[in-house]
Amino acid sequence: MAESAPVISVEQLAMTYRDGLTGRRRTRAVDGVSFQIYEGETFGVVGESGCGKSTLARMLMLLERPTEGSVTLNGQRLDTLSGRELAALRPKFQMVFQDSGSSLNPRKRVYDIITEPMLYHHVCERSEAAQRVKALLGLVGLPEGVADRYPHEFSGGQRQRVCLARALSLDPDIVILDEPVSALDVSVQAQILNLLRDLKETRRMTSLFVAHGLAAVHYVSDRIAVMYLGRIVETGSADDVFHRPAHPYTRALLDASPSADYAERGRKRIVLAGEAGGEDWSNGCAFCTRCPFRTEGCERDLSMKALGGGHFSACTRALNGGTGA
Amino acid sequence: MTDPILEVRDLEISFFSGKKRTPRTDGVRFSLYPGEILCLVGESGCGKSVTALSILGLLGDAGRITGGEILFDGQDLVRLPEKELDRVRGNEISMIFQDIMYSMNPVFRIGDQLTEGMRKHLHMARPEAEQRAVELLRKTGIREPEKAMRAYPHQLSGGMRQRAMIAMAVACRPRILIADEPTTALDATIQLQIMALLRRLRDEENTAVLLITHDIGVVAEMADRVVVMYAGQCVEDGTAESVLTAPRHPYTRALMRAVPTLNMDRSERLYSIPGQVPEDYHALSGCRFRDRCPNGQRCAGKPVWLDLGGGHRAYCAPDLADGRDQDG
Repeated sequence: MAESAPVISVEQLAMTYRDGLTGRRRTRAVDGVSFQIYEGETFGVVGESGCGKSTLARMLMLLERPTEGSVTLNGQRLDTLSGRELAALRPKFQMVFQDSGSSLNPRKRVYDIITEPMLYHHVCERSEAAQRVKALLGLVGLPEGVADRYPHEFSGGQRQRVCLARALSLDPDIVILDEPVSALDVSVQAQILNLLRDLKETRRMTSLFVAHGLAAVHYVSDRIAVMYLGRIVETGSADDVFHRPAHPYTRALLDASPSADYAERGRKRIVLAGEAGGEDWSNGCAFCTRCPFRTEGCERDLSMKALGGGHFSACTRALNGGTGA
Repeated sequence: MTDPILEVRDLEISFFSGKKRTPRTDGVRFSLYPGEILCLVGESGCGKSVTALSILGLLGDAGRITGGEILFDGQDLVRLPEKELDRVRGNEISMIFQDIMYSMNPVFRIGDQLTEGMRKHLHMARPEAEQRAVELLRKTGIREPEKAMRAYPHQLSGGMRQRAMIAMAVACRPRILIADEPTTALDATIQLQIMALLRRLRDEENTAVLLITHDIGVVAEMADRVVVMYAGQCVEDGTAESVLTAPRHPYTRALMRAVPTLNMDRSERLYSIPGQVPEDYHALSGCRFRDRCPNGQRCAGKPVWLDLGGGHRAYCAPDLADGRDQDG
């Protein structure tokens, strides 16, 4: 895939929030994040709350202006554009949120919800709209008849389908999915994950998939990045990262994910003490205070080590079950 | 086995709006034994949380128990006067909730909230209760318990609050701890810590834990026994091992197949259950899963409790005794 140009490219992206009464306290939510997403690819981002994955998604949408770094969509730099210029480009990058209930206008019918962006951005005439809505509903697996209904008449899974139809109505180059299945029941979650896979196959949909459910991310993603306190600590193909984790944090995260397989109960695993953040780690490895593999001075080395096949990790101490590289 | 400490028999809970009565659960039946972790699992709306709330008489104004009994040590909690229930609640049976923020009073310090139960139920003096509270907080893994005692709920992180909540719930050494999705709002690495804490509590105090969850993964990690609920009814129960490795009810099987796992074949499609839970399920006679069941076509839809041996039971049609789904 690497030979073609990326759809979206992110370089050294950072976001610093100022808080406290005088704005002097600073929180670095995202720090030096770089990656590329290629056409037809799903890029998964996992991490725990506060790791910056949602901030990252919002920066890609330019809902938040990054304090440092760049976001480039098909060769066009986005972060330097004015609000008006951005608005014109918005059809090219769309977003689906976790809470489908609050991201759909309760006073509008599905038909209007889906046609509004198309009419606003002049991607279709009012006369063609009905045809487009019908096609889009079919694409996301909803019967045509639902176009006249209001959001509250739908279940969570169906509403998420409406959100997807709306995002796809503008034929975007990339869709940012922020925890799209986290609020759904397992059986419904399976339907939406299947749908995302179908859209990738039939429409070559390019997407960034942010979630904390590891198995769901693994299922839909081609490549995965693991974030910890604002930084990407490991990235690579979905199987490399989750089946051959190199970073101790990735290992711990995988170990902590409850397995539905009864045979895996009581498996040997890393139980992390403490919580993310809190302690001072200044410019070293943010995970060092919780890391079971820590060695003297290792926290100062933050460079990404290449492990082959596009697999990179800031640390390799968890490789081969903890024996290191 | 010893006698169950809690026995729920054909529990029916209804909600009322005006004169309209809507049953939410019926035919909920399970037993909880001392020292075991029993998981109540099902998807949203299946009635698992209402069942938990009803045990402590916490249904609120709209909900009422309209049938069945809840036997705690042989005495029926359903018919117990409020005053006597008060003696059980938070004392012999206590509960932790998913939404920790709403289950603590934001204007009282953790210490005050932690000692309240001990002072009320165990008639402890304040210094004595405070001492025990600090001990409890330390046991749950809070590093500076004295500091946490003086903190207000919002000053603690989610994981810390859940620990404090657990400390509060076990302060009076309850014989039953009901935990309603205690880790759902927490991160995976914190969830693992809380699960270990609940397990240790069971081991040390022989507390019976009723764990309510929607996550099959949590069930597989934690449960000694499992009760699966669908549309207001129990449909299968048994030891975790037999239910999870040899599920009999098509719903249990579907639920397990729908969960993606890390080592699954990613080229395979995820199994999803067709259709949705019928809205007026209480009005249906016979099997409530029939319309979504892979065997629905060749099944008469007249479920009975099938005894599968070893305490494993399923509420399904006996004519499908081969136990295989039609589609595979």
